[in-house]
Amino acid sequence: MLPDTSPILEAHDLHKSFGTQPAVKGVSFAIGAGEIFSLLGPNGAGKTTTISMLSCLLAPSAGDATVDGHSVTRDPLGVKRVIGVVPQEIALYPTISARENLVFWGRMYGLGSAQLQARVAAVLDVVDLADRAKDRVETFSGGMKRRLNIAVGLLHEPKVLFLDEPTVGIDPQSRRRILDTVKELNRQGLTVLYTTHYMEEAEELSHRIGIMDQGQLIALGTQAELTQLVGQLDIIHLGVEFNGAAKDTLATTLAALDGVQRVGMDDGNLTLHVTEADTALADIIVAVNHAGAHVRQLEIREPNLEAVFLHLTGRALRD
Amino acid sequence: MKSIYIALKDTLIRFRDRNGLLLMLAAPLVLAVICGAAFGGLTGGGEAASPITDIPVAVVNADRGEYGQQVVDILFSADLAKLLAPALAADVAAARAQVERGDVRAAVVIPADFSEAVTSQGDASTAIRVFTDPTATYSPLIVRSIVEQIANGFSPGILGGRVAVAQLLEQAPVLGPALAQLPAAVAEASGRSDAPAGIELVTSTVGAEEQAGGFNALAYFAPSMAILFLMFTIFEASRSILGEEREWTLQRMLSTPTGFGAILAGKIGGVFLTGVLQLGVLIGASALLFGLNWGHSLPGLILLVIGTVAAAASLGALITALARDAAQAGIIGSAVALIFAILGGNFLDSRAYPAWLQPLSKLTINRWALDGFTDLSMRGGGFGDVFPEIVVLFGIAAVFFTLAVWRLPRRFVR
Amino acid sequence: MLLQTLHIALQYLKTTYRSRSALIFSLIMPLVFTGVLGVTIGGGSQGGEPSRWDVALVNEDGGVLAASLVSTLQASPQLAVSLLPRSEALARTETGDFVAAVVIPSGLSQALQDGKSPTVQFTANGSQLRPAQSAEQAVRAATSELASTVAAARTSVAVAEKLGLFDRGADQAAYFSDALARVAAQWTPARPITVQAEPVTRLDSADQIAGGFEQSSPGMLVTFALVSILNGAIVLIIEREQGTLRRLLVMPMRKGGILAGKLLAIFAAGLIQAAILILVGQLAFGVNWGQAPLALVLLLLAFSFSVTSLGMLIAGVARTYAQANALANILMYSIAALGGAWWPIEITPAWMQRLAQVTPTYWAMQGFSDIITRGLGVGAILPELAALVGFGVAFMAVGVWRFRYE
Ligand SMILES: Nc1ncnc2c1ncn2[C@@H]1O[C@H](COP(=O)(O)OP(=O)(O)OP(=O)(O)O)[C@@H](O)[C@H]1O
Ligand SMILES: [Mg+2]
Repeated sequence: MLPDTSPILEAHDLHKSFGTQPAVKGVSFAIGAGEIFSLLGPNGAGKTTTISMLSCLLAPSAGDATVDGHSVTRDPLGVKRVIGVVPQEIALYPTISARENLVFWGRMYGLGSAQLQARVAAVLDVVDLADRAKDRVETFSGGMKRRLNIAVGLLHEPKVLFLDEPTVGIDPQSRRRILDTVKELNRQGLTVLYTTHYMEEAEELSHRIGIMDQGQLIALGTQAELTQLVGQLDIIHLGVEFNGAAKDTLATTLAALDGVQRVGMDDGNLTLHVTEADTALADIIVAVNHAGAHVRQLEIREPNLEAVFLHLTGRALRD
Repeated sequence: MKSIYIALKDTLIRFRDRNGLLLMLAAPLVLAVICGAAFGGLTGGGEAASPITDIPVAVVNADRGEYGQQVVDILFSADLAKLLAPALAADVAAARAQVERGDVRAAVVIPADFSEAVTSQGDASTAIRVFTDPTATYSPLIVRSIVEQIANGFSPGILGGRVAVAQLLEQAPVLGPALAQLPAAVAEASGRSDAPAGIELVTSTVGAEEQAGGFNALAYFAPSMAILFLMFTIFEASRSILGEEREWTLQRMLSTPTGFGAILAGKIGGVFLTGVLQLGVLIGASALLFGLNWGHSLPGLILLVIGTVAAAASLGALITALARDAAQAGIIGSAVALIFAILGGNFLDSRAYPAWLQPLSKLTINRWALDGFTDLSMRGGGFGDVFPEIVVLFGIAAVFFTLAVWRLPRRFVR
Repeated sequence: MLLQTLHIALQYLKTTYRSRSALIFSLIMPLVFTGVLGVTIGGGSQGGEPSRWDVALVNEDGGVLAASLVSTLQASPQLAVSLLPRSEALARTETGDFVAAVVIPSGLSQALQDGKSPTVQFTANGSQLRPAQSAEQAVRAATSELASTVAAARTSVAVAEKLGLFDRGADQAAYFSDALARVAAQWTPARPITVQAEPVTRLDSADQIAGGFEQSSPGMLVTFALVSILNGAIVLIIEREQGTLRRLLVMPMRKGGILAGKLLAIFAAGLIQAAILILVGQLAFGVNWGQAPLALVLLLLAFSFSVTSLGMLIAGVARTYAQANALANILMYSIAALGGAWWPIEITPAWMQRLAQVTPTYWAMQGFSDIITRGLGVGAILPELAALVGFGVAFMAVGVWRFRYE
């Protein structure tokens, strides 16, 4: 947790509907300068819609937000000057080179010729792509494209960087690199708004985390604050082979057991919240076997964000 | 300023695409050559320049006499060697079969009584039959006209003989015994088909620029195909803004401190720049490769290029504004490009279109552009000749552009 | 195996014809193209209403013979003649108001009477050469008729001279005019040698309709079937790039079966397109497609096969979608034009007609003409069938050999 700083970004009761379909239903939060703030939520939670409103791509149906004192509804140009946006999609031109992409986007950010070359070289360095700068983007690996996607958002040295699921669909090594880059940028003073549906990323990076579900911010705080919501519960992960056993029946049987507070099921992965793992475990395994299923894997954990999400929504984070 | 960078970026992307260049530049040149060569001979009028040469003709001579052979000799003569490729056939059935198989375009049958009819002093008449290939349009007409001219060559003798007999018999009182020589004199005078004094048709051409090598049809099809493929390029490029929305580069542009107006101007400017470069390269290439002469007015040519591209780019922007999505814009674009091409005369000379089609033809950008370019490339016109087309094209551009910039931003309201 | 192949084929056809654009590109577009090309090519040709070409006529000669030439020209069914002063006639021909200007110079009548060869000037508009050529033919017919009439009259004068008529005080000029009048009177009803032209066709002449659509209907059939099939073949490459082909490959069937299914569908789509064009030609433009159903079906099958194979060849040699698209587009336009689908092949130079024989479109067009214009049957199109199947087998072999599934 950062020392108490004045917020650089404030969202006030943001709403967005597409037609009659609400996508974001009243989201408010504040991000302090120099903070990494994560929005964690499953697919369709409204993360991208929220970021789009904050970056003035979508006009809020109601509510407002300010970035560095500029209102997204009244002074979008002021907002755009201070934010760097890294969209969830790889928003690059595949048939021109990395450098040509960066030069173009630098121009869009209004960089003059003198600054441009230096900034392009600098961001290429940050994402470690200087040696591939001349190659067409279409020849890049997924991880390299993701890194270049980030580099574009850094060109004009923004005060706040929006990263919308920047690690989707890449290998662990590339993800590691990106997380390290984000941390390093933050260390140098950049404020980051990060969205993800990977709880490990949120846990590792964030000073504070907002959990989003179905267009609402259902919890907000540091990781410690959030896990306290679950209380002194133990988390049991089971890998189960059903062998044709009825899943729903098993879930109800397990939920009815003594000490079991919640049951989450994601295919063969069961997550149970229990008051005391040692005492409940035996009953659980018996119940599973009795149902005709078979335990492959078992793990007992401290409460984490996944548990928080399950606790708050009754659903697993990953669907 | 940013608009210029957007336009340059789009142009760079388009000219970096090698396969795209094939379609933008190679395809129109190849097709212009094919169409130009197909119609290539149609220059200057006159038989020598006739596009149709070496028409295969079967000849059947059923006549045993001297005059049937004369007809055959004329058909095989050096004068007609360029136009006709005649060959003797055994009989009528064989010749007909050759026509039916498409081996020859026509068969000429000289009847058995031909010489008899030529020499007859009475009212005898006969017919040379020409069997024609129904799948061919022009060569049968040519063969027929040649045979008619040959037949006409015999007619003066025969008719002259008959008229002489009639006239001189009326003069019997004056002539007296000299009348006895009449049959001999008639026989001598008639039957002489060797070139009676004719009327020579001197042909020339006006209103068309002389092109090196006489490859004149190219002066029509080079601009024609350039315009067709320009439309393809422009409609394709116009809908790229919808592609950018799908790929999120449009949103990324909007997330930078760049106004939507500047982005729109840049996108349309990129389309325009691409189109101007494409036409420029095609005009330059056809001048260099085929020696095509693009007229006497450089300002006229430049304004025509700009007007054509502006009109097409505005229409492209309007289609983009109205289409549901990029795929639909693509479909509408192709459909409009093809319909405009056929109506505008990109595949066939629109000036040969029937009168009722002309107003429809003049509803297309293609027609006005083509009229302008051919004013320069075929008729060697100057600025004054292409001025009306330039005005119309800029008018079209103004109307479509206004509609497009009114509708286009609404697509992207958030 | 066979069932799966058919399933793949049906799937393709469903997706193709469900989209609304299918209506535009398979029906409306061919209708417009067939119509416009048909009326344009048909202008001034066999059958139908002959077109009249606008011609400016200048008569600078006051004589009788020139006057008679003027009336012959005015009577020509191919010409719409406007009598104008020379400067205006030439100026308006240059601007394109007239396809040509014909100038009868002063002294023509006298020259003809004197047995000299006078000249008539025919000035064509350079950008309307095709109509100008037709007009020129009509003008030649008129001048040769006048020349022959004069020659006949002169023959009579020659005979009279031989008999010494004019030595006996007869007026040669009066005799000549009389001869001219008599020849002219005989010319039309009783020309001694006539030329009878008749087309060689097995069709009843009542079935003969304007020539334009008999060219444009099969021409557009060939073009649009070509477009449909080659665009279909590009889908093979799109599927390869999107990975859907690979998804099919993991299914329990042989690679060949998958490819066969796709090709079958593309082939069938080509046939459907051809069938639509035949209906368009028959119903909208009165082209007689139903002449020899068996021959027609065989020819359609052979043509679709050869073009499907051409598509396979493109899919086999192209590495990317963009490449295949460029290649297919250039090929489909070029071979349609070369093969004679856009205009009668007879107008092209001999070397192009020989070159055309390496395209399947040429053989298809020949076959269609045999059937719809000549009224022939299967026997007559055997060479065409052989050529198309030959192309098909060769293209297919190379295409399948070179094709990469991923
Ligand atoms: N342009 C749009 N039109 C209509 N509905 C939309 C639009 N954009 C988003 N939505 C809907 O709004 C909801 C929230 O979408 P959003 O993209 O913000 O979710 P997300 O949290 O970013 O999900 P993901 O993790 O999949 O990116 C979804 O139900 C989505 O279908
Ligand atoms: Mg999202």
